[in-house]
Amino acid sequence: MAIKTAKNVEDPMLQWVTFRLDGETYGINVMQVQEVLRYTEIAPVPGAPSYVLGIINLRGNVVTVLDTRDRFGLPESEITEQTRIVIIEAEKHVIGIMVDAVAEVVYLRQSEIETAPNVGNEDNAKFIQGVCHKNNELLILVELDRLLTDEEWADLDDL
Amino acid sequence: MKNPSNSSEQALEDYLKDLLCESTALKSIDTVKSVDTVPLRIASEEMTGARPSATLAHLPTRIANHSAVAPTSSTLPLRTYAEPIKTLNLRMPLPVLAPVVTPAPVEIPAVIAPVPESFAPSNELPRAPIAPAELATTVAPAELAGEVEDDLSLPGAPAAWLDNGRPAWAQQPFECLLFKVGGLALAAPLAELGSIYPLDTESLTAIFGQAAWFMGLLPVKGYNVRAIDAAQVVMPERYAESMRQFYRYVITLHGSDWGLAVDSVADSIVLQPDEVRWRGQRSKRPWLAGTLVTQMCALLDVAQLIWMFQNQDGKRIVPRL
Repeated sequence: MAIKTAKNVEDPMLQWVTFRLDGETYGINVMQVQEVLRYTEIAPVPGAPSYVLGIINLRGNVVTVLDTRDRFGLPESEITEQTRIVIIEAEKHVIGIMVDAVAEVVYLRQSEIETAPNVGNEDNAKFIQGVCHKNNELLILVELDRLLTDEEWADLDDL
Repeated sequence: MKNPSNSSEQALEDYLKDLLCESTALKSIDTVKSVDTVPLRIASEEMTGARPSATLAHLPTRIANHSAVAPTSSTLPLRTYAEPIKTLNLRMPLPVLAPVVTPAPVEIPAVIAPVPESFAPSNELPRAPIAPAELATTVAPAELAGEVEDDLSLPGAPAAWLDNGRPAWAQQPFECLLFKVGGLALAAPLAELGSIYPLDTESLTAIFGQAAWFMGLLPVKGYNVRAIDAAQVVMPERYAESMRQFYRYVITLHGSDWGLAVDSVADSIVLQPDEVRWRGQRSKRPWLAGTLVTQMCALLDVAQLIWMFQNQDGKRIVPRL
């Protein structure tokens, strides 16, 4: 029992919410996910950065919604029935990220996560925490805290 | 008495053919027939005078059946099929060669002979190939060409060539693998390569924010191969996005997670060091080791390629042993 506990501490099992974006599957820490909403009308904010789609009213609270495709440098896509807005908490901010579809929650051990290459000149590669092979596909794990810089997080408050 | 050299070459040829995946849609450079499981022969002391290599007699093999240049995804087999190229190198002893007589120096003509027909480009590819001499005037992507000189002090830098102007692996006769990228024939020393994997585009996972020449991660046998768009690296000046649709295999670079996506894989040949025109100055295109004089194709310096890719990798991944 002590050995098993020690192993769990050294190699914790983490849960990841997976979603689809531009044909690839991404994962985010389940502890940072508050809820998943169907696509709803987003009110644009004039003068907001390109990665900000706008704001929504979530039970009386204003939540900023980010364009994940723009943030990841992926091409634009049409809204479909599967499009979802994932409400997350990162860096003490509650925001929404729009994705093509939400898949499932997967369980991954820390040891199963491999380092992803970083051969680009773009800053958006810093969002990637690692990759993991699961269910015959490769998951790209995203570090939500790095989705925005400190300055960008602060700018959200001024929207 | 059986000629050990011919037997070794035949076994080498058969084995290389066995490595290629079965695909009815690929056009063959040398059309071969598909066969059932073929028991591999063991090199014996009687035949070669070398010590016996490890037995692979019961390893199932399959010979690729090529028929067209651009197969559809539905005709490509899903089976993952790879054989370490190095086992071939270990199993196949080098032929016993007669003493080498150094010929008188020959002036290489300024006009480069046309590429042999076996490596002529397919009519379906976007552009005609360029003669190897043209490669000398091209410049690799700036982000790749510049890094080598700046970061040679970093650990893992490739060993410098010897005083005779050749790398360590080319001091004796060495084996080379011939392959095609974007219609261009290329060669790489067999000892510097890893395995050949079929490029299943459905399994290839693109990672956003990476360099254009990085195609994605290809899961194989418990690890992820970092697939590189070889055409973008070796011939960026004539690269076209459409070249990617013709990639069928990924050849891994020995000792690393990097792999070159290529159109097709041809034969393995044994080269004498003087059959290669070695490059002197390599400040530009350090990945270009030289030119095969007979085959008129470029010879890659795999160690330099690995070094370049690793220098671009911000996380400095430790090479796979």
